[in-house]
Amino acid sequence: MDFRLVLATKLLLKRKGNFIASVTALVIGVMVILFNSLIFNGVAEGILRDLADYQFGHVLVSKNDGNFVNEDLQLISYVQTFSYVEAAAPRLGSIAWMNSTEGASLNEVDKIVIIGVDPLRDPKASLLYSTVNEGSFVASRGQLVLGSNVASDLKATVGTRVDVKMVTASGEDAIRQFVVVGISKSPGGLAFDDSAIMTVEDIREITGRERETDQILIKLTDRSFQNELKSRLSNAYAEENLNIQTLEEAGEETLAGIRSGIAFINLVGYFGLLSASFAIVTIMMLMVSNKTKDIGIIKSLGGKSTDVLIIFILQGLIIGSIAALSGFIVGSIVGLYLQSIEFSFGPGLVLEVVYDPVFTLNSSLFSVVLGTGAAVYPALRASKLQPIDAMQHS
Amino acid sequence: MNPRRRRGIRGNTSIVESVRLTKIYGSGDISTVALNDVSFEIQRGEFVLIVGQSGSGKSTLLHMIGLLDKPTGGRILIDGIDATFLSDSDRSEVRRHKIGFIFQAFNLLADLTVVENVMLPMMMIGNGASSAMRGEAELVLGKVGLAKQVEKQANQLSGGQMQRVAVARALVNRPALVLGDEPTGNLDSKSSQDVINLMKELNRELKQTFVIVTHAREAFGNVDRTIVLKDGKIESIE
Repeated sequence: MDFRLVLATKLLLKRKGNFIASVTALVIGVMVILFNSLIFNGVAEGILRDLADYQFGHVLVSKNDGNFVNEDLQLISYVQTFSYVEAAAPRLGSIAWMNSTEGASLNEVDKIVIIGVDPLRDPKASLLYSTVNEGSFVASRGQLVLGSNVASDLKATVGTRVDVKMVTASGEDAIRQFVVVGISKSPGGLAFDDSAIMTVEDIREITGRERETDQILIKLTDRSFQNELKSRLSNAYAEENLNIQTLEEAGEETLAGIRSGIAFINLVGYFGLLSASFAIVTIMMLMVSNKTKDIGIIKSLGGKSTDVLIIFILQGLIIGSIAALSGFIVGSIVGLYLQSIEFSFGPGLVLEVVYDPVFTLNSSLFSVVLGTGAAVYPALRASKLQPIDAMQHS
Repeated sequence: MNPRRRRGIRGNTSIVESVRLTKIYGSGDISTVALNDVSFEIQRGEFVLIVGQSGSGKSTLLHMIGLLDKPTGGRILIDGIDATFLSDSDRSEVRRHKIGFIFQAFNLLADLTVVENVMLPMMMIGNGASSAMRGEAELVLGKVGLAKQVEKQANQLSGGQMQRVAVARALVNRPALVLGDEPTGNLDSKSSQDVINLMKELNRELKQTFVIVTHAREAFGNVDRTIVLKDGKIESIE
């Protein structure tokens, strides 16, 4: 074995404290990067998943100049001819004022967003029905599902009768009474916890917008087909002035904040890794200082400056490599574990953690670069020592 | 390295040739002349002592001969190679192949075992397989009476044993020149005598040149020559 590798290994491993401190500093840096990535990408993916499941589907179609009138079912039939389209459903939104009488007190809420759904098609195209954790989803006209926050404000439970007022297309108030059949609550609050759900036919009838639909959400068997479907719809309905959005486009507003957060936290992570590399420079400088006499001895035996340089750079490489291996193993275990469970912070959003072995490997290998890079300056200092001066160092 | 070999002053090939060697530390008013116009030759196979009082320039001269330090003036030739103006890398190359050192403070690498310390000069040259180097190192360690200590850590040995390891390390590559800087300075009288006897025995047996700086001239008994230094100059060569 090359004497420089032997010396690098022996001189490093005999000083376990410095060695462990250096490796630990790098592993912590790598773990900060990996954990940030897992958690915040998990949050972003979790938000996208919930937006797809509850609000937008994988592709959301609306019109730039108003609502669909009598055209929604034709468009739904068209998209369902594609093998990768699982289901599609129409929705119509409105704003409502509600009140309920609980005992002697009148409870009111203002300007609540009402979502009109097709009771047959919607459960196939979205998981909105699954957010109903008390009672049941709307199955027919006259039924109302309240978001948990609205139900709380109205002091309503399943069975409560609620008066709903909406403004018609002609500007008049229209009031109908509904029976609460379910309470909806989603873990991350990305469904309609602050809204209410009724059949699309009820909204059409109350508001006088017969046969109207303002959104069609489309669920795909595989999200990766969303751009293809968008392209096909754009071509097929080129003259219809459709607004066709992929999930990411539809959720851009919601995701903008979290993406800024991810970028910021990743920056913090990289600063952490940079701090780790400074820690290694300090530790390596200490190691050079501790080994000054040994450097003099090595040079007196015929060791060249380049040999000393290589010895200390090899030490950085060894530290970085062991940190990379440790980081990859620990990162993979944590990543696979978080991916295998429905991880969430408390009762909040369930994260969509995706373990990425390539990213984990790349992040880990980055520690090899940092470990080696951090060794360069101490190694240069060591290589410049004169043998006599170095040997007289105590 | 592009060594420029030359014949010695006397016409034969010397192992060491010092020509008007001068070393001045510092500069201006605070300069100290450690060596002043020192010239001599040492022949192959000689056992030479360099003696003198503290501050006479003994160690400085040895460092010049060992190419561990550069002279301010004059020239130094090792085995016919003018090393005066060699680069640091080439000086290391000469040390690696031609010179072995025995230091007063032993200067073993504490993190290596005894046998690893002795193997190190061989590994630097890189001749032969690891097992062959180990075999050779164990052979030399046997010669200095440490056959049973090969796997011990260097810092687990007594002073006398450590100096024996240092002797083994200095000799293992069969260098033409072995330099000792007060090699018995840290040893008790019995260990000192053992190490001196060992060096003289190896000098006779292997015909390697030994140049030893010492305060304890008497302990070495008869040697080929003794260079006496005083105030950085050669006072006599006996």
